[in-house]
Parts: sequence; C-alpha cells; structure tokens
Amino acid sequence: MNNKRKLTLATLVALIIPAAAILGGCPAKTETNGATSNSVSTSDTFVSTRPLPEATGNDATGDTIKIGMIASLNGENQPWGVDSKKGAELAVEEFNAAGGLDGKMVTLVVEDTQSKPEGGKSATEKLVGQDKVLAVIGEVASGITLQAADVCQEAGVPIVAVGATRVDLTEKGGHVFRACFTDNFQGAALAKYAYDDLKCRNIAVLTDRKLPYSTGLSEMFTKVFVSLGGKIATEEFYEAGNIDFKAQLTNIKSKTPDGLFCSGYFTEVGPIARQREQIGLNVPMLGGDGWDSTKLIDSGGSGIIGGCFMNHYHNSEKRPEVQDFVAKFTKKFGAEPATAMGALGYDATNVVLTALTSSKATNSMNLLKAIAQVKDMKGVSGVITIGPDGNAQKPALILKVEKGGFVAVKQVAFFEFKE
Amino acid sequence: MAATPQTLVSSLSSTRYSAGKFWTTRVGTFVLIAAFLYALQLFLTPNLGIYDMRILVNSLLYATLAVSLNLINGITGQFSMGHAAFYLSGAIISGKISSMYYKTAGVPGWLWLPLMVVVGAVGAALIGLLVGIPSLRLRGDYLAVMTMGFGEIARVIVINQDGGKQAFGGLDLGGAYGLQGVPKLTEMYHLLLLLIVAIALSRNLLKTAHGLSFLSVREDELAADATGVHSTRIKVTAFTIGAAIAGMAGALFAHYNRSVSPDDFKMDVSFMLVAMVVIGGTGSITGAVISGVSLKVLEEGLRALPGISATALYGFLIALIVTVLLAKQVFKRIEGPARVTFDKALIVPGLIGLGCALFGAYRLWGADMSVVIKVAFVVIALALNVAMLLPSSFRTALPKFGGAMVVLALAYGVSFGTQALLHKIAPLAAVLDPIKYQAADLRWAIFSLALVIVMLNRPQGIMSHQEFSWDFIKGIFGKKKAIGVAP
Amino acid sequence: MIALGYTMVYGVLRLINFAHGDLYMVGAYLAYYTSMVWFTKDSSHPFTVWLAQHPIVLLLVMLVIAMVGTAALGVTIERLAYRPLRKAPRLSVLITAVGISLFMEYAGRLIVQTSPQPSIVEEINPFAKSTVNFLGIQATTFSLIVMGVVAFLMVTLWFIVTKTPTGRAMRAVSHDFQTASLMGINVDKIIVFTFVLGSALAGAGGMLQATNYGTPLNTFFGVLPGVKAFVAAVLGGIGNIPGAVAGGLIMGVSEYLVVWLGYAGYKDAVAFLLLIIILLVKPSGLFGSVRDKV
Repeated sequence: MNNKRKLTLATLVALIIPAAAILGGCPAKTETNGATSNSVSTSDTFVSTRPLPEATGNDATGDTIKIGMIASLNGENQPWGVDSKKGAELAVEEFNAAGGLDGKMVTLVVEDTQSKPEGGKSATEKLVGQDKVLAVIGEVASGITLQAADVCQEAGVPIVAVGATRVDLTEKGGHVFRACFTDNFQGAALAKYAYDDLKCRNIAVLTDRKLPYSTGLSEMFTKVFVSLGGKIATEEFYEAGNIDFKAQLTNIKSKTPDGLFCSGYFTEVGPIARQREQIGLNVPMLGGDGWDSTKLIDSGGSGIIGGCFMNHYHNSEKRPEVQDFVAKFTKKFGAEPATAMGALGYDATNVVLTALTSSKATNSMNLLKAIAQVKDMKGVSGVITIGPDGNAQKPALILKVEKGGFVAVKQVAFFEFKE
Repeated sequence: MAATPQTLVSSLSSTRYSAGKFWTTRVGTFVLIAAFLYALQLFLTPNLGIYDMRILVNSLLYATLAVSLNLINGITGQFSMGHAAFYLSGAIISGKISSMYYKTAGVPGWLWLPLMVVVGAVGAALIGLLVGIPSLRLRGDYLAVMTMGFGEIARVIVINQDGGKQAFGGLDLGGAYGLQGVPKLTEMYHLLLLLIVAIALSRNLLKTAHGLSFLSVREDELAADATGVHSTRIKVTAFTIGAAIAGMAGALFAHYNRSVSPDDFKMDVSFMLVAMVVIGGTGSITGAVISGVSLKVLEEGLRALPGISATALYGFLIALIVTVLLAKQVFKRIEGPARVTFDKALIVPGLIGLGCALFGAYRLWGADMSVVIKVAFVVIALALNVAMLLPSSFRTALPKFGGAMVVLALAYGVSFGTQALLHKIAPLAAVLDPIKYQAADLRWAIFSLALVIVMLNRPQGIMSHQEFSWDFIKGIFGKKKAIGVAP
Repeated sequence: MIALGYTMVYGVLRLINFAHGDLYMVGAYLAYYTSMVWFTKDSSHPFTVWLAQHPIVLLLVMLVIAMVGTAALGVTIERLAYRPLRKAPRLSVLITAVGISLFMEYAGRLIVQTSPQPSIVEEINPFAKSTVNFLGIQATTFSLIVMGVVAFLMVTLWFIVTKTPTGRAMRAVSHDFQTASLMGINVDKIIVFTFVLGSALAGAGGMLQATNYGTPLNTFFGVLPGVKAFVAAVLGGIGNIPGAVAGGLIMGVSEYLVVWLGYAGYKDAVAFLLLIIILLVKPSGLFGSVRDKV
C-alpha cells in the first residue's frame, strides 16, 4: 500500500510542478478591471458621476441597428420575462413603422436567460460579442441584470434594466440605467405608507431568500420603517417554489404584528394570503411590485383582498399614454399586459430609442451618453428622466387589491431617501 | 456494466516499466502541452469574441466536471448526484478569499490563481471527504439521494450567508445576490490545462493497479473486499479526488465569471453532469469529455433555432409519428433475400444524408454564429461521416441511417398534408394559428428530447466503456481490413 | 401523498422516476382546466348554480379527471421511455427519466401558455376556508378531508399490495423480476399497473395541493414536491406504504420545527439533513423497506 501511495503522490507532484511552471511562463495579462477604476471620460462634454466603461464600444454596420434584449423566457421569472419581451417588441415595431432612424430600421435581438445568472451572462455575451448590439435592454431580475452589466461594462455597451429594482445595481458603472424605480424609493415609500397611512407600528416581514430582489427590498423597508419609529415584529423566510407557508405564518402570528410585509413575487404571495386567512392571521398585507399580476386575485382568494402594493403604473390609469399602450398591446398580443413588465419593457426600449433618435449614434458609447441625458420622456409608467445615478425618476402608484381588480389609492411622487 | 477481460488485460499489459523511456515520454508530453497552450494563448485567444470564449470556457469547464464525476460515478461506480456542491464550494471558497484579499495581498495574478485553485481544491476535497465517509455505509440509490441532499444543503447554506441574522457568524457570501468582486484571472488555457490534468489523472489511475481496485469496487464490492481491496478507502479516495477537481473547476469559474451566484449551482447542474457521464458512457473518460463539450455546445447552439408556427410544428410532429409507426411495420415485414437488397438500397439515402450533413456544415460556416459552435457542428458532421463510412459499421449503420433519412424525408412531405388538415379543423386552427414558437421556447424541449433519444438508442452511452486511444483507432482500422478481405 | 405514489413506482421498479413530480404538475393543470370548464362559462346557468351549492361534486370530478389523466400519461411514459430500457443499465434509465421530466416541463410550456400563471380560484373549494374544531385543534375542513383521503388511499394501497394476488405479483416483481417472470407473472402488466397507481396518486396530490392553496401553476411547479416526495419515500423505507406517509409527516413536522426555531432560511436543507441522518443511522429507512436491504 505504501509504495502505491508514493506512486500517486509522485504523479500528482509531477503534474503540479510543470503546471505551475506553465502558469508562470505564460504571458500574464495586465488587469483592466473597469469596476475599480474611477477615471471619468473627459474627451466629451458629457460628464458622468459614475465610472464609465473604458472601451470603444460596438459600432452599427449595415442598414439595420441592432438592439439586444435579455429576458427570462424560461424558468421562474418567465411571466415577467415574456411580458417585457412583448413590450419591447411593440416599441420597436412602432419605431420602425414611424420610419426608423432616417430610414434605418431597428432590429430587436432577444435572448433567453432561463432565469439564471449565468444564463444571463452568456445571453448578454452573445448579444454584445456576436450580434454587436448598440444597447442591451433587460432583465426583470436584479441578480441577472448585475451579471449582464459586468459584460456590458467590458464591451462599452449601455444596459437599460427593465424591472431590476435592487439599489446597488446602477452603482456598477455609468453604463447601467433603468426604467423602473429602485428599492431605495420603493422600500422607503412603502415603509412610509405603512407607517403613515396604514398606521402600522409593529410589522412582520416575510422574505424570499432565493430572490435578491426580495432580500434587498425587505432590507430597505426594514431600515426606513425602523427609522420612522416603527418596530419589526419578526422577519421570516421562504424560498421561491415553496408551497406551504403555514409554519412561518404561525410564527408570525405568535408575535402579534399589526401588518405583514411580503417582498416576494405573486407566485408565493397568493398562497401566503390564502394560508394567512386559513390560520387566522388577520392583519393587512403590503408588498412591492413583485405582487403585480392579473392573477394575484385568483391565487390569493379572499385572503389577498385589502392588501396594498406598490407598482409602476396601472392598466386602468386614465393617462393617454397608458390607454394608448394598453390598446396597442391588446391588439397585438390578444390580451392586456399581465404584469407591469410589459409597460416597463416598452418604456426601457423607448428610452433607448429616444436616445438613438436624439443622438443618431452609431456607436454604443455615444448612445450611452445620449441615454444618460434622456429627459422628460413620456413613458407609460410616467414621465421619465434619467437621473445622474442612472435611475429613472418618476412617480409610482400604491394599489389596493379589491374583489374586481386593483384600485389606485395613492400616487407617490419621486423622492430620494436620505438617512 | 461488466468490464470485458480485454480492457483489464490491456490496461495491465502496458505497465511494463522502463525508467529512461518513462521520463522521456513524460517530459516530452509536458513540453508539448506547454507549447500547445502557449500557442493557443498567443494565436487563438485574442481572435475570439467574448461569446465564443464563454462557450469554449463553459464546454471546457463542464468537460472537466464530467471527467471528475466520471471518477466517482463511472470508474468507482458510486452514484453521486450532488456534484454541483463540490463545484459550488470550490467556487465560493476561493472566490470569497480572492474578493477579500487579492487587492491587498499584492501577489501577482499568475501566482494568485494557482493558489486559489489549490484553495478551492482543498476546500472541495474536505467536503468530498465529508460526503465520502458516510457514503461507505450506503449503496446505490440511497447514496444517490444522500448526495443529492448534500448538493441542496450546500446551496441553501450559501444562499443564507448574506451577513444577516441567519448567517453563521455573520458570514457574507452575497446570499442570493451572489458573491461579487472576484478578480478576473482565469484565461482559457488554465481551463484546458485543468482538463488535461483531470484526464491524465483519471487515465493514469486506470492504467495502474490502483485503477483496477477502483474498477473492482464498481463491478462487485463484495468480491473486491474479498480479494483484499480496501473498498471503503477506495470510495473515499474517489470522492475526494473527484471533489478536488470539481473544486478546482469551481475556482477557475469564479475567477472567470467574476461572481458566484448560488442559483447557478442548482440541482439541475448535478443532473446535467450525471447525464454527461452516462451519455458519454459510464467509466469512459473520452466519453465524458465528448458529451461534456457537445452538450454545452448544443445548449448554446440551439439559440440559433428559427421560430416556427405552432401549426407547422404540430403538423410535422404528427407526420413524424405516423411515418415512424408505418415505417417500423414496413421494415419489420421485409425479410429474407429482399432484406439484403432493401438494405443495399437504403445505403443510397444514407449517403445522401451524410452529404446533406456535410453540406449543412458548409452552409453553416457562412452563417452569423459563434465560431466555436460552427466548428463544433462541422466536427460533428465530419465525425458522422467518418463513423458511418468506416467499413466495420458500413453494413449496419449506413442502411439504418438511410432508413432514418427516408423516414424524415417522408415525414417532411406528409407534414404539409397534416398542416393543411390542422387548418381544416376550425377550433384547433383558431387556437394554433396565432401561436408562433420562438427559439427560446423550443430550445430546452429539443434538448431534453435529444437526451431521451440518445438514451433510448444507446443506453450504454456513446463510448460505453471504451477509451479513445491509438489502440482504439487501430482496432477500428484493423477490423476494417478484416471485413474488407472477407467475402 | 406523492410520496405514496413514489414508493409504489420506486419500490417495484427500483427506478427513481423523476417524471413523478411532473405528473403532479399535470394533475394540477388538469384540475385547473376542469374547474375552468364549469366556472368561467356562465354563472347563471342552473347547472353552475347547482354546482356552486354542491362543491364536493366538482371537487370529486376534478380529482377523478386528474387521476385518470395522469395515470394515462404515466402509462404512456412507461411504454415509450422506460420499457425499451428494461434491460439497460440503471443509470441510463435514470437519465431518461431526467430527460422525460425536462421534456414535460419545457414542452408542456409550449402547450399551456403559462403567462400569466393561472391558479384555481378559491370559490371552487370552500372547505379550505371553513374551519372546524377537531380534538381541540383548529383546522380547516379541507385539511381534514385531505387527511381522510390519504388515510383511505393508504389503507387501500396497503390492501392491494399485501392481500390481493396482484399485490403479491407486485412484490414478486420488485424482489426479482426475472424470477418473477419465470413464475408466470406478466411483468409488463404488473409494472403498468404500478404506474397507473403511482401516477394517479401523483395526479391526485397535485389536484389537492392546487385547490387547497391556489398555488399559481407553471410547468416547473412539480420539481420541488417531486424531490421532497422522493426523500419522504426513502425516509419511510422504500416500498413501505405506511412508511411513506410517516416519512412525509416527519418531514413536514421537522420543517415546521426549523421555522419555529427561527431558521426559516434553512427550511429546504432540513429535509435533506434529516434524510442523511436517518440514512446513516438506519440505512434502510425509518420503517425498513419491504425487501431486505440491498
């Protein structure tokens, strides 16, 4: 046995030593990690407070301008991903029908991320490296957008997130923008609403462990709610895909809170609402834009009635943009957008297209600068101005779930939360 | 599952030892490998786009993982379904250390990466040991469930380490958001090197007496114990080595991807790895590499699928099912001398089909696609031709292939009829007509179907227990001669 | 519930049927479509009104359709995918099962357009809301009904497996199907029968779950329950019918306990941890497998 062991050891050593030699011998590339550099582009009149990518970017060639989109067309985020894709398709179709950019047509290349971070990365790499798109639109999920932002940074391509609300996303660099509000705003607005309007003082938080979106929103909500003087009764966790939440709810019930904040997606919030009622935890429910789906009332039953959540806009709003959009969407796809991601996908694409029209850019870095200067664009989800931090500054709605559908109860103007 | 006596004998016969020859070949091999990698780094890498790079890196990574899992599943016969856990632990441990200390340590990147690879390997190996030790008590499916459980536990633990209340000691691994800020150090040649190391390790293992004891554990644990093989130790060794390699792959992945999200290491990664090992042929290193690379390329390559309307899809499916069922009946009926002529006649469509494959590869070459995928498809088309035209399989394979081609062509023809039929049925047409499936919808359905079809046709895997080597090629050509001479 | 079905198929065939969780998903979908047929049409139709007053009838119809549909599907899968591989290595069958499972998830998605994800409305099942006081414990009527159904199925299955000739044949096949076929048992027939039972149970499980909680349906909805059911089946001892039920209960209770202790994030890990501990202490499952240890 001893001899044999020596043999294996010898083989191992024999393998490792040359391996190390090769590793050392090869030309080690110098590090160009854009995330750490703080240089600001000075060649242009445009100055960004955030670090811009140090790359030349992609150029548009030929008669078409390619815009990329990543969406979760499979997997857990599919309902949102599919909607965002539909919205983007609608926007591009309109743009082309209106004559495109001086006769040049825009093509939308959509790639599937399978709701996986790595899938998002390879999808973006295909768009950026293979299709040479000028801009990337998407993702609805923060975790995946972050991965895509990494890729875009190296290539010098702007990315406009559709529904990724996580705060630290746009801190990644000057190339990340979004068409939605952030958890910073959402969490703070919800905490204020819970404290001021619902008069909650002792609220329980239920977080989806698996979703970066949910953990981020819960964190922000907790922070602001506590700073307002409220108390967090308890925080419980589950994972997307779970079915039974009675254990967590019973736990919450024992702490006798006066409100329940669910930061997860509607796929779990519905069953949570039903089970909340079943075990007799009779407190108002509150949540983020993850609740948004026309099917929430079906899955939540009577348990969800009376719950409030925050959303980007609502299909029944009277603004002409909304009415127009819903009519066009219904005409093209046969049904109203099921989630707000339809409108946000439409808005995100229009942000890119507006910048394209204003700058006539054929290079992605130029387009990036144009996107950063988009101002007062009349979007479906409100008048959009891209702020210096890359976030869209626009109002949001608080909706209440009623038997026949959602009803807007309060409009929250844009504000920045300062501690 | 039985290892043929030949494989055992052949693996023994080549162990005659001669020091001079041994070291010349060894050193020669290393020099060659180093030169090859250097050439790759110099000429290939700068010419590849990031997407080509990703596909290449992913295929290499998964090939490495498949080889390492092959050591546990294939060679030692321990059914592990939690390989993603080792991969994850290697990635997260090394990634965490890198993200914390790389900037301040002042160690150059070329030294830091191997260090991290070792760290990942050690971390994963320790976890492998942890899984391996209890595995001595369990066999077969129970072990499978247990390893699957370990895989899930590892993921859930990582997801909960976000520096919050539920994290152990406030450990922050980024939680569900993923670990960020890992420096990018991995180059393509690192992965290739790791793959070579993994292959060399398993191959050398098989060539020595050690390997025989591993195989004996797979074939019959009781008999192995009876002949003096310490089966427990063998199993734990297999787990540890397999885990260590997976850990290294994880470390390289972390330093390529720059972030580690637990969502990328779900159970389906483990399943996919098991699928790679089984499709390649349990115990075959070559098979593991081939299926690892081709499954990953297939997964990405299917992105280029064109969209198709629902009517066309279902029309074609119905036509295909009908023709396959009919053809089966027809083929069954033809017997005796007619069969021989029939088979000969089928060679013609077989050849046409091969020609089509080559032509398709040629056409694909001009398409707007990733170079890596294009190369892979061309290689597959060529390999198909070579395999079919090799006389040892000429008599059986080509007519079979021809039959499949005929059925496919017929089905395509009939599909127009079935489509028209679908249009005739008003309520069905109303439902189907507006639906148009995109590539993304079809990708995974086709992928899983391909998995099932391969398994149904070749349950023992593509390579079964064989290895690709000079002997293997000689065997094919040797047979060719023998068959060529025979009347 | 699904654990029961699992233990049936697995116990007899020694096959980890990954598609089992997907049958559960199909059961839920079938129930959903059945409910839609009656509930969306015209609420003033006298039959609909009558149905609204007698919800148990609709529930039963849904249950039966879900069970029949999944049983048929299960048999089809067995015929197309598993039977040709009867003599192939076990691993290949397993990969085929994974492939089938993936195929059902992704191809199923093409057939049912899952955006927005539908869920069964609450009105279908008023029992999920009404509570009763049962031995001093406040419980919903529906949970009691489910308990009753599970107990009934358990006893029936136990009866079929241990007391009837078919059951004896099943046990023989599970023990050694080559010898069993020598003894004049039609192995194929027995396996098909097992699949019918197992799949129908999965379908029933899916239906009960979906009506109880209104979980939004998508084609991936069966994955986690499928895996957990497998764990429960192993926990209770493969092929042991009361064991599977007990395994399921133990898992449920332990998950509950973890949440109660304040470690809700680790809920999913605990089922597996428990499994590992039990397997280490008693490798044949908690209540022993019907067969000897393999």
